[in-house]
Amino acid sequence: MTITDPTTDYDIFDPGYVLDPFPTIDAIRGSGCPIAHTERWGGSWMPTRYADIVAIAQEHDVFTSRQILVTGPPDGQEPEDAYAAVAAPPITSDPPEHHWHRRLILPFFAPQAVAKYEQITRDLCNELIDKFIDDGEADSAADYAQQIPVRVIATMLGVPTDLSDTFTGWVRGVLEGGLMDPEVRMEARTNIIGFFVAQVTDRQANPRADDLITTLLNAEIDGKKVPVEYVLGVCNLMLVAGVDTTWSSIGASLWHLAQHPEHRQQLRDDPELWPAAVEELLRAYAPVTMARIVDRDIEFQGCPMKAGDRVLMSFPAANRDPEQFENPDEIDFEREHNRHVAFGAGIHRCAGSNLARLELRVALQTFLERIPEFQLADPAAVTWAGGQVRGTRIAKVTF
Amino acid sequence: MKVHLEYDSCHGHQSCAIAAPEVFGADDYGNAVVLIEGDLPAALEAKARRAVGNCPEHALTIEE
Repeated sequence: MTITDPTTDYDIFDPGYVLDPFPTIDAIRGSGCPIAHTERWGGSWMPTRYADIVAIAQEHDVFTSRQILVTGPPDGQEPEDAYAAVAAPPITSDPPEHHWHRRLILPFFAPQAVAKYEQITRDLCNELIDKFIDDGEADSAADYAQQIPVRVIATMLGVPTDLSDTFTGWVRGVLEGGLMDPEVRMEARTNIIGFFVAQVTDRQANPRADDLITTLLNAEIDGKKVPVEYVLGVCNLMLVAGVDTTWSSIGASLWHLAQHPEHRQQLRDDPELWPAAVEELLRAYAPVTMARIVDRDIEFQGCPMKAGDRVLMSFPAANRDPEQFENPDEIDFEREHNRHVAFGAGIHRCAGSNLARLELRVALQTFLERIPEFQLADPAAVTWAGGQVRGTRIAKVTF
Repeated sequence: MKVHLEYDSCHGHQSCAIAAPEVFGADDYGNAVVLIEGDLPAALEAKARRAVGNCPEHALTIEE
């Protein structure tokens, strides 16, 4: 079906939009109607202005996190769910439970806590590069970016890293294929939670020292152990949210650097730029779009939103808003003010953001150290995933 | 010049600590802490201004 007007009929899975959503986003933002609406994929609203997206993130009592996927059948039309009590806290939680759902996991993800994964990540990146460096070519997405976060998260969860390909398949089932096919999503979800049920049962019988799942199982709230569904939900979240997202960010950043030798040179000349460069790449190539569900009928910026409506929180759109960022399509590692919201804003700020940044920085640094000069083998052959998570999926480079 | 953190507005992006690690750090929950409470050394002022301008939650202000 052809799209005639993106303000009333956008399609986040249109092949052109997946490849490059920004012309459509800019057209919506520049129209008289910067909050678009579509009936496609279960229907949704899509604000495109930074100010509106941040305001919605802050108004969590109206814009709830009951569902956070960008598509979905209306309530009651979901396929049968064997693990209906397991969500993905705290991303799917609303206050007041959200507070403890989040507070219990934040210490695992503080900068000082994730620092111990830096060397593991660097070793992993080097091992991956060892496999292809003598070939003169590699798929920067499939052979490199895709391989990194899944192993770091598996290490953090204390589950076998040799199951990485299986985990990746499950996560893609939820966040890619499953967005257009609820049966695919439910199968992947059942596999993920079934896997963690077995892991949790194992930890209950054989508690481990220094283990995230064991620590969560022993955690108490108001003098009572936390429900096992909470622990399963956190594991579900860590896998689903910790893999596709960071991999997409690494992939998109390598795609950028492959085409910009001047930016590679800048990082070689001034390594102190790395932290700001990572933030700028996160801004320009923010991978994640989240959703919110409207709690009650309201008018927001002139839009008549109804209880149950889905609102897409396109952080890529927010981060390219010229009202907020001067020359938003330009990558500037020395940008003066960068209030980017690649990790969202408000109470649902990505809990894993410090880990994601660390992985992104180490993956890019290691690649550039080992392979200083590289280019896209065929820019037209690069493929992208889009919808919930935007990033490269096939991106061959030569060197 | 001093920096002021409105702790309740901070959601732990750590944008400040990335821009000015000498001035900002993280508590056990990853939320911001101000490491230099008093007047900042002149050499850190530019970095601190950038940190304040990077906070997505507008949780930081500068007191001249």
